Amino acid sequence: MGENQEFVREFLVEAAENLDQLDRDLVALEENPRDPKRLASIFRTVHTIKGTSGFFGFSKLGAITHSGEHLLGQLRDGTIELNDRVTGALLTLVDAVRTILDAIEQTGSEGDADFRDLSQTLVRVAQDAAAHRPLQRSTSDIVVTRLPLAQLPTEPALKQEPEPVADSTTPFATPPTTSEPLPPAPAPQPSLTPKLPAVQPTIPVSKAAAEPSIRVDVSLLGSIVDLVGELVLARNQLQATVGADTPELLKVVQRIHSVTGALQNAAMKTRMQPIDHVFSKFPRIVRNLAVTCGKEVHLQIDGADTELDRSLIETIRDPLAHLLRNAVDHGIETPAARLAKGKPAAGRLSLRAFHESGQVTVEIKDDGGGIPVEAVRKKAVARGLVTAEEALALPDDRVLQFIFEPGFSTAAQVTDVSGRGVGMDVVKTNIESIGGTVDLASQADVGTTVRVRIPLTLAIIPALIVSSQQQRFAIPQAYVRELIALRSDRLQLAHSQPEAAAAQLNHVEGLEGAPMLRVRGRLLPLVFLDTTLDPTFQRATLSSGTVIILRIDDYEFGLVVDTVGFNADIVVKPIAAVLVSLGLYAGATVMGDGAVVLILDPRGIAQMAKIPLRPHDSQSDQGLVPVVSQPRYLLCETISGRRVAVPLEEVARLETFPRADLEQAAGRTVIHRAGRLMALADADDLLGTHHAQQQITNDSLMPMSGVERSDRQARASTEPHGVTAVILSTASGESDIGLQVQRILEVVEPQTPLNCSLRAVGVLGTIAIAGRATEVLDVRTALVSRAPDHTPQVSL
Amino acid sequence: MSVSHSPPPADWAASAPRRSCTFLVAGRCFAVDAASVIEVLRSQAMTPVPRAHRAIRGLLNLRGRIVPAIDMRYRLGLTDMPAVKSPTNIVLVSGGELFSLLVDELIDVTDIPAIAIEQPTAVSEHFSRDAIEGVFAGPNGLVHLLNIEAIVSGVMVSTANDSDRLETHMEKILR
Repeated sequence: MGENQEFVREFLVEAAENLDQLDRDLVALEENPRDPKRLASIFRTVHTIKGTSGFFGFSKLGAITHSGEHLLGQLRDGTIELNDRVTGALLTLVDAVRTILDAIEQTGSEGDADFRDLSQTLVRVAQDAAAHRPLQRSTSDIVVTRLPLAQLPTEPALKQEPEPVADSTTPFATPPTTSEPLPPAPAPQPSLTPKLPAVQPTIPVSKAAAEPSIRVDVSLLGSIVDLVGELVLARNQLQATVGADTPELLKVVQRIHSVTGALQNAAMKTRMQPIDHVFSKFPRIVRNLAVTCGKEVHLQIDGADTELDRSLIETIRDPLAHLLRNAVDHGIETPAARLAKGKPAAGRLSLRAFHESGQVTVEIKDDGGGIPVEAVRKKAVARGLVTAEEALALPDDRVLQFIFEPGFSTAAQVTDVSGRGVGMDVVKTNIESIGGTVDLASQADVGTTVRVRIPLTLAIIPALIVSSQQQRFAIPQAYVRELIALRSDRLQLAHSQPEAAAAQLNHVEGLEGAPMLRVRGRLLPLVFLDTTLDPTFQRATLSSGTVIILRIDDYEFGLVVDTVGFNADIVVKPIAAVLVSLGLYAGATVMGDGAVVLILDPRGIAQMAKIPLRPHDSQSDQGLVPVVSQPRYLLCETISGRRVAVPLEEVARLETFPRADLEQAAGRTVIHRAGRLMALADADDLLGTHHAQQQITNDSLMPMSGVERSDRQARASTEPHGVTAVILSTASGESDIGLQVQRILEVVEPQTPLNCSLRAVGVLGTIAIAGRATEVLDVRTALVSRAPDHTPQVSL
Repeated sequence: MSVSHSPPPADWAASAPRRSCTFLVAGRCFAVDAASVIEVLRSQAMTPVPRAHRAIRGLLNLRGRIVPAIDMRYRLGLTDMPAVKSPTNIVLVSGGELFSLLVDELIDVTDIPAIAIEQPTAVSEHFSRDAIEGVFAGPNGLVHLLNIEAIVSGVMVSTANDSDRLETHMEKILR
């Protein structure tokens, strides 16, 4: 018997997968009712279940699948055509099969539910459909009109269609119109399916046959990944130990190095699964929802083969389902409303997954009515989140963010579908807990787009390694916004100029008692990692350190650490529950030297420090910001040693490239990054040589008689970190232009205004910085007017 | 451990000897269920865990698994005697997670007859007895039988913040 149970279990696992496939196929079939491949696939699946159930003696299962097979057979042969009744009946069949399988799994028997009515319905649907065949509408329609099933008076049984993800054990209602119940359907009779061979109790031919695969215990995969991680560490240690004096050994070590790397990649891939595991449930959910809400929805799924870590797949299932539910229930209008607006009656709902810069983006887009911004605004005021005046001043996209507030719903009434259960705040929390983000854009009558960005894997995350009190910690990069060197002069600013920021500082310190740091006119709460982790620690002086600006949700704070080490991709390992409960650590990782390093949970740190979190761009924050805002400049040293200032609003980012990555193309220096080419312009070239003389008098840093290429090259090559570039910004974000400089000096906020009379080509003007006249680079005109080698330049 | 295919009689469990791993902490003898013990290690490099229970000496890397080490001196409240230079790690499993008990010295793996195990109330000693489930008068003195789950739950520290939802979620993600 034990052996038999083993077979039954295997059957159950396989059948469950087949049912998911059935759901998908049936909904897909509605889109394209004559797809012979789909029909064959559906037929095969039902047939397989029927055959195997006969083998195990599951007579109810055999009976209903037999009826279903009959109906499918007629569909396949073209005797009848697909319509809503047929699809509905078939979906009900899938649910019934699921119910029976659940019963088998739990009790070992088929359960008490009576499915004879279903068998009968299936038979009748087949007959009716055949009878009405000439009346069927053209099957060339791609968009299928889905009438609410409740409008089909002849099929009361279908009203009882179970909930979308049906683990339903509800018995199917008896159709009152039937005159007499059918006798229990006989056990499968191969003779009734003449087109197929007799039922064999063998493992069925399915998709698996084409793609060889085996079932592996997930925990086994986990341990393989762990062991590979160990191997990588051992390899690193081996590499560090082997000296250059043993070339033979070195060769072997290098081989081990490359093999280990490949093994690590392969092992990580075993954790990856196509997002289809989540997506496959959605067509059915959307279909049922559309029917329930009386709407017509065309769901388009793209990128189902996009892969991500299986632990993430489980986490995003519910949030995505919720977003889809919202789109169908609140987003897409009723057919009548849509037609009135001049839109097609069927709403379009698109679900798209794709890889984007090391992350997976899932986009849910509908062409519905959009989120009613004014209703959100009103609700936000009613809930006391903002005052009425503040609400009016807020831009629409900011107002939309309120729907992520806990318990926030603008739905006028709670429907069966939405307005209860998980809300958008939980969606956001769930996605953010795995290091992802949720973005929302909505336009009235055009639709709503929600973009969910999630990391590829949680097993390996980029992290910043920092140290505090001689102990290393890892901070997930997803939280890190910015690093700022904590210098004594900046601190003095906060402490010695109380009158400058008196009101704000006193207010904050009096209220919450937290130290604050002024960053570009904003006050951010500061948390000292050393005292947070060790309350008994007494800091002698605060002379150095780095502030890491961390962002949690919409809040930012500064975390002060002793030193910042480096960026690393770390393997996240779980820590014991007794340590998780501290709330300070998200896990641990093992460094290259074998040492264990704790991964900080910024949320827990902030809570532990009891800092007053401030929204990074909300109204309340602006109360702390001084009104006067001087323009600020990035002060750089060019390769020839001149000092230039670049207006900070022109700067998107600073980046350092390895020198080897530079290439020449079309007379320009270019660099390949993130899948596109970026042009690097030498800041010296933009300024032109006529400034060199002026520079000498001003610049004590690097007096040079002229700009000699060879000198410059020599100087540039001494820079060990590669090429430093200022990436310029455009109105829409980041440009494709980088400004090559020798090094970045600092960000300054000069007290004197820009003197525009001292200007030239490429020079916006001159400004006094720390008592010295400094040229301000006119980035735009400089780049347009001057190309390297002075070739005629097309506009950038 | 004997292998048995049929379920033992009801009184078997009570009378069967308990195979135990015995060790010394601050001159006193303790024992844990040997079936839970995974391995015994020499002193290991450890990463301290700030803000954790003081008995958590740190985390050690056991072939890629992160294992918290519980200093039994602190856990049992036996801090009056000087600690040994290189304590021994007894790595064991509790509730699916690995822990290491830092002890002065491993003594033996021995069978303790269940019938000889007495209630801990019989002894009066100056250390925390919340994890002691029984005592046994061994040939070389008193052996205190420890409950592993109780040892582990005793080092739980909660910062009692409201991020529980996130924590449980992170736990789920991290398996």
